[in-house]
Amino acid sequence: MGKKLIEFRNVSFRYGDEQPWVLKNCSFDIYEKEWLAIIGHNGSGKSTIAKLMNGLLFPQEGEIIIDGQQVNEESIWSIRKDVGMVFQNPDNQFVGTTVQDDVAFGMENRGIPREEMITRISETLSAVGMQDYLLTEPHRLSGGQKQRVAIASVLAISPQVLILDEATAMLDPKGRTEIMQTVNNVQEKNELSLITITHDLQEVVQADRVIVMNDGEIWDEAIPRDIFSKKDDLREIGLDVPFVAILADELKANGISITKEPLNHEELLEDLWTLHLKT
Amino acid sequence: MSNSLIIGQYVPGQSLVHKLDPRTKITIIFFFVFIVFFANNLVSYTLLTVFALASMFISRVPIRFILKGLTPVWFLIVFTFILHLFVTKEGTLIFDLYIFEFYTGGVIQGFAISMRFFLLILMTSLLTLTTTPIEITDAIEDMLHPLKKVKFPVHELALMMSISLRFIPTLMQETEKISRAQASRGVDFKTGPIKERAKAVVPLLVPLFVSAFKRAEELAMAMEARGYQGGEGRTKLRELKIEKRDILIYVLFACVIAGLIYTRNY
Amino acid sequence: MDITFKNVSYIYQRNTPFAHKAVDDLSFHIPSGSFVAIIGHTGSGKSTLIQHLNGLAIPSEGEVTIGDFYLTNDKKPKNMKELRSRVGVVFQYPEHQLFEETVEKDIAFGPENFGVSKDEINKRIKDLIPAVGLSEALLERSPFDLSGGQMRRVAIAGVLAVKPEVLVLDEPTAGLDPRGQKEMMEMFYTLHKEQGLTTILVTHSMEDAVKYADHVIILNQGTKYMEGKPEEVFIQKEALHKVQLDVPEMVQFLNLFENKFGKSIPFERQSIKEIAQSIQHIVKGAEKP
Repeated sequence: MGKKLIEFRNVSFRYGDEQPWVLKNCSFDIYEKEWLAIIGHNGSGKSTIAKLMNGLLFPQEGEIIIDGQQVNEESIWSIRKDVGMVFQNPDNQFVGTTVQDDVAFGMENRGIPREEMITRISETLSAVGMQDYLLTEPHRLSGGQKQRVAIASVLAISPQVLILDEATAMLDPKGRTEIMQTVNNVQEKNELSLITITHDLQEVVQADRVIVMNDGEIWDEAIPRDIFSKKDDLREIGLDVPFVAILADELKANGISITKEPLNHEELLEDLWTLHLKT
Repeated sequence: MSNSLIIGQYVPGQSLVHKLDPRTKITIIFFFVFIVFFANNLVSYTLLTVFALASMFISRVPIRFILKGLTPVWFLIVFTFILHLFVTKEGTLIFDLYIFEFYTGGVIQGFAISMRFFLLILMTSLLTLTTTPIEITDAIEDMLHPLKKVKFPVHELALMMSISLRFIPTLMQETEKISRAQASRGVDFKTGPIKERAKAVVPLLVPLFVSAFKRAEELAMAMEARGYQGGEGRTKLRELKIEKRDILIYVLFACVIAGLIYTRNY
Repeated sequence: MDITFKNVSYIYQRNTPFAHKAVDDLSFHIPSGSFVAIIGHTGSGKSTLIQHLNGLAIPSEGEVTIGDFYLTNDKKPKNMKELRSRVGVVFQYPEHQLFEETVEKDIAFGPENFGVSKDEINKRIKDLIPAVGLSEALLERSPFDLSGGQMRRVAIAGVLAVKPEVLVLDEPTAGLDPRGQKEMMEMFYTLHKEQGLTTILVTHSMEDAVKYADHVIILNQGTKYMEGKPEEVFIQKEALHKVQLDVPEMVQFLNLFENKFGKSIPFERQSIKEIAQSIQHIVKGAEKP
């Protein structure tokens, strides 16, 4: 694992003095260039974590350190350069009147010269496959296309971390696939840390590491394979288990020994094939 | 269905009039509004009419779009003409009808005033027909720039305008969706007494406001996350540039003004 | 109520340069009491189709019959309101339609519009509250103080309070977490069976279609692309891929299994447990029972 990039140290958060705690004493680290998935039922505190990471919210207790800097009122503007975020609703984060204006928005805020903006707009829009839509207005784009523009806008300020806060939740399956392909490409090329906050199991399976949130606490922190071996417990806290994991369990119940928890169809089939050859 | 949505009246094109800097267009129309009132004889009116019609033809905006822009004011133009016809008692009497007397002065006066109206409306609608709302916003921001010295929030105003423009289609789609949902719950927006129909607006407006506020909140957060901290130190992607063609048009327009002053004394 | 579409086309902004056919020569029949899933991408004509079901859209060409109601371009039913009281539509993100001061008033809004008596409405609300998974304590609260999931249940209760015979669901689980999605679908399925509803579910989830629907219609660019029982439609991998749709994950796995083992396990909407048993027989080399 690379260098520590984000540290949460005993972080607690609530929206008001009378309100219940949304996050309770959470501590974890995020490393350079890793893909971390954060899952949990609605209201488990996972989106709050995202907002704490770039100073949209501040914790009442504990501290958050990003690339050596503590997140506070003074540091937020430099931290927001390093931590880019894509939100859930594609419409409510599209500021510009056209695609290129929207990608420019973040750069304009940071005083980047115009010539530089033009180069970066064409680079980042090509990276997300939206180079042909420079002058298109947002209401002519699909949800998936808008989210790709949102990703380009974040990439344009070359952050170290890209957070997708349920960015695929409002999209149809086609839009979801588009975004995940885009994100895969981009992460490899730009060597980013990627944090995906999601319910979508496919997104979880691809991650390097998973944090499971439950009622404001970290319920588990592990690699996807280990997470999905705890099926009953996951269901208990309102989450889902992939089809292969359920099938593997049923097979075990039928007396078939599965050597390792499968993450995808191929792994399970391989396991079955080896077994078949032996009998 | 959203493909048909056109904000404002803008008709896309590549003509000289489209390509002019929006500031040039606004400045010229601003002065045009004044000089129209200086026209006082046939020659000066012809001069201005030729200028306005020439701009219209160069813009290549189909005439039906221009006529559509004029429809709401036709009545005003005709009304002004008739008013002058009845009221002005100058020149020679043409004929009288019971208590009404019509004079040549009335016809000329009526024609002149209606013509002024017509020219004003033609030129201003040409501005909105050939300039996108966002270009107008940019031009206003730039032209109001000196007001920043007296703490007038020029940048904020322009940003508000451009965000409103951006969200008009979104809110229109939303209105359509909510009215469909309420119609399914038995609300009748189209028939029934006025009082009932007015009441039917509540189930439409409340959700619309709730959602607009939610959008505003989320948008504000997204803008903050993308480093927005006010107009200070911002650069701009869209830039306005005075080109040769703008200077050419200014010179031409100066000639029109000069010609107008000269012909006034005819 | 039986629902029949006969050569239905719908054109937006007819006779303008922006005219565009959202639904094109669509015909199908849905018998009363069935559970039908409609699947297709954004822009496939799904939302235009469902607007025809309660007269929000009138076909530009062709005819729609819903029970005794008959919709064609030149013949609108006079009793549109009655049609809307018998066909309930739960739109996407239905919580966006809430507007009343209290949950109770919002649920009562629909039935009041359709002239249901006060007593009857109160009785229906009492029955509905547990059925949609809410508690009576919420009735006096403002709907805007509730959680997203609760708001959606209130909106759904508002549609059900009209006691429709046909229930149209447009992606009712969008934006919910996995448990919420499952509870929501189970709730609709229970209602479907207990009240003998005709249910039309617009969904992207092949899994839900397999689990609940007894008939599937696949739309593509405004036309009917495929139609049939889930177990017939969902095994046609190539045809579905052509319109960028996927087969359910179970079918994907069974295909891969067949490639590897050279033996096929036919897809019959069986449970994962049953599939595990079939696999066990093949892997262990035992004969099928």
